[in-house]
Amino acid sequence: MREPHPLLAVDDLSIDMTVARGTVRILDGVSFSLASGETLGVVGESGSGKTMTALAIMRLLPQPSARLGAESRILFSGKNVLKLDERAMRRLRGREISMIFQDPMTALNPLFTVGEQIAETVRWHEGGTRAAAQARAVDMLRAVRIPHPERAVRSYPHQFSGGMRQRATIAIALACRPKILIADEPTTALDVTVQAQIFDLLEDIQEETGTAIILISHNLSTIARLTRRIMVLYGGRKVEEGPTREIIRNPRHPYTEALLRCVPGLRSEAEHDAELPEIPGTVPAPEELGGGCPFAPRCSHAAARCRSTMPPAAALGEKHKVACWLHEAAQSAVT
Amino acid sequence: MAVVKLVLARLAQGVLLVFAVVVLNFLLIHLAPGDPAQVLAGEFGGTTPQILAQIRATYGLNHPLWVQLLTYIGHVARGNLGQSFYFNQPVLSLILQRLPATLLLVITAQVSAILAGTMLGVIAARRPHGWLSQGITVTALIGYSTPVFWLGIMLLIAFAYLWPIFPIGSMETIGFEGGIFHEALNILHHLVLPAFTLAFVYLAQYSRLSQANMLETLGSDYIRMARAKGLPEWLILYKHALRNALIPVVTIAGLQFSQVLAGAILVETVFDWPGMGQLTYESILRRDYPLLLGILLISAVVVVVVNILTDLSYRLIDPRIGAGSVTGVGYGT
Repeated sequence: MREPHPLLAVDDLSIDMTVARGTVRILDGVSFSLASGETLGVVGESGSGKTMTALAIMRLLPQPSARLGAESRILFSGKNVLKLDERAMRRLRGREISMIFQDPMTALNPLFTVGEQIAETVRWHEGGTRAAAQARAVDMLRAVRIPHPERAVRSYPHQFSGGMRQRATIAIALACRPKILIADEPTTALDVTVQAQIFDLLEDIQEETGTAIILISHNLSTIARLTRRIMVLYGGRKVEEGPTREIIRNPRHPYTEALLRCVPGLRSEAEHDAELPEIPGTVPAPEELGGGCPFAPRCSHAAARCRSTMPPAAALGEKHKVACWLHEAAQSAVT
Repeated sequence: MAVVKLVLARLAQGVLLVFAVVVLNFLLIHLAPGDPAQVLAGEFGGTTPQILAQIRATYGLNHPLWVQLLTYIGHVARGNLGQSFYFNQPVLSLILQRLPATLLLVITAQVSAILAGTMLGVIAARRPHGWLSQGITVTALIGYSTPVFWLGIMLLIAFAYLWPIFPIGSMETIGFEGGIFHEALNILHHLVLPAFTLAFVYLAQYSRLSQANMLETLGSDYIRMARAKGLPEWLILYKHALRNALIPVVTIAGLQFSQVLAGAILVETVFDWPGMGQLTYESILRRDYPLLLGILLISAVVVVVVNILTDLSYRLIDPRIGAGSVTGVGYGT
């Protein structure tokens, strides 16, 4: 049984950004979908377009410098959110689609109690009394495993540690039981031990509430555990997408392959003593991209064609897709 | 209780500060050229050495400076600010007669500058390149560089002479009779021009400051978070951003209060406002040391009190300062 339409379908999403030197395309024709209750990992280096994709879904792209491409569509439960007026969009944000950010130290308003910052979201979206909203805030803090939630609800953000602040932002994001949670590098700013706790928390929350999660990270290994499906972005383009296990075991795009080689934990025993490889070169600035594959300048397999023409997506099996000329033979179904 | 402790500590600091002000002012004034005995003698028509000596003896000016200083401090500690040379009245009662008028003028000017300035700044922050924003920048520059007395005179010419909708000076219409309400209205009518003159400079400064703070605050992560929560724009602007943007405004307001007080001297002189400013002007002109010292002392006390109030209002706005950590639950770092 397939759903009539997926919970979220991003279709041909492109973003143009006005910078000092003119206009550059920072995201080019990215499409993906998310089923309810699913966890999708989005991987890529800084500047690959991960955060912009997330902000586009929330319709919180920096204005007026960012503009969406004309063909772009973002369907939430079949409705194009790009066509919604601001009022309707606000009803979606925080209630249907929530987002948490990379740095929990600055994501909370320092002048209001943590409880107030949860409760105002509840009151705004669902109405109800102050007391009821406050009670929900306590429940949410308990749900994200903050000790002594009755006391914590009256605390200010500066009385919380980094990990607890990120738990608090998760509590805010989930307070209205959204269908989608977008987590943009939620653990990058945290200690390694705390990172694991936050991931455990997200995993448990997903099991309990069935919230679909889009987990954005630059680190393949951290999100491999939590996701069933991964999408790899490079230079504003989707270069590979598929089931997490298959991508980890059998990466098909040279960039994904290189990315995996850089992760110590996921390499074989034999490689273990060898020097940790790196990907030569740097991510190209968006204005340096020509018509070809954005990875071509750093790719060891690059041919003349790679530099001139962007390879279309090729299906390798039912769910695994890759955009690389190396897999031209498999180019039958193109999405 | 932390607040009480803080107020006590600040008060103790304030007393020390005022003491230092008293000593320094006393010494400074005696360093300045001019001899009060000469001025007083001049008032009586002629100067002979005998008259000068007599005047010096009457006012204790014949003692060595340090004896004069100690005597003065002793008197001040007992609440006696001395006798005005010129008005021949106790300094304290002279000042207390004038203080309410000055406080009315200064507080009206300061409060309206803060309120109107912040409001303009917030509106301008929504369109950082709009005409309002540009206008505020230009006005701030003009306000900065305009001498306050000149602005006062121009306003008098415009709105009390050419288009006489406001009275030309003083605080009340002479011989005005009426109920309390009408009298208050009468004073308010007289207050408009001087208060506006005094507020003008600061109004533009506050709007520049709050606009800059709002722009910075609006770019912060917690504002993006508030947007991601689906909050409406007005709530983000007035609840989340404004309160954060107000913190530096409060700082500046506290710091600038003494400047506004100083500016009042000129404004009161231009508008014939019966406050401390006029008294200051007179006391300098007449070399009336006890009066001038008294005025400086009372001004120092007012500034110290305002600074303590500023400190307290910080704590109201920002839980991270002081009291917040005392009442906090202490969740690690």
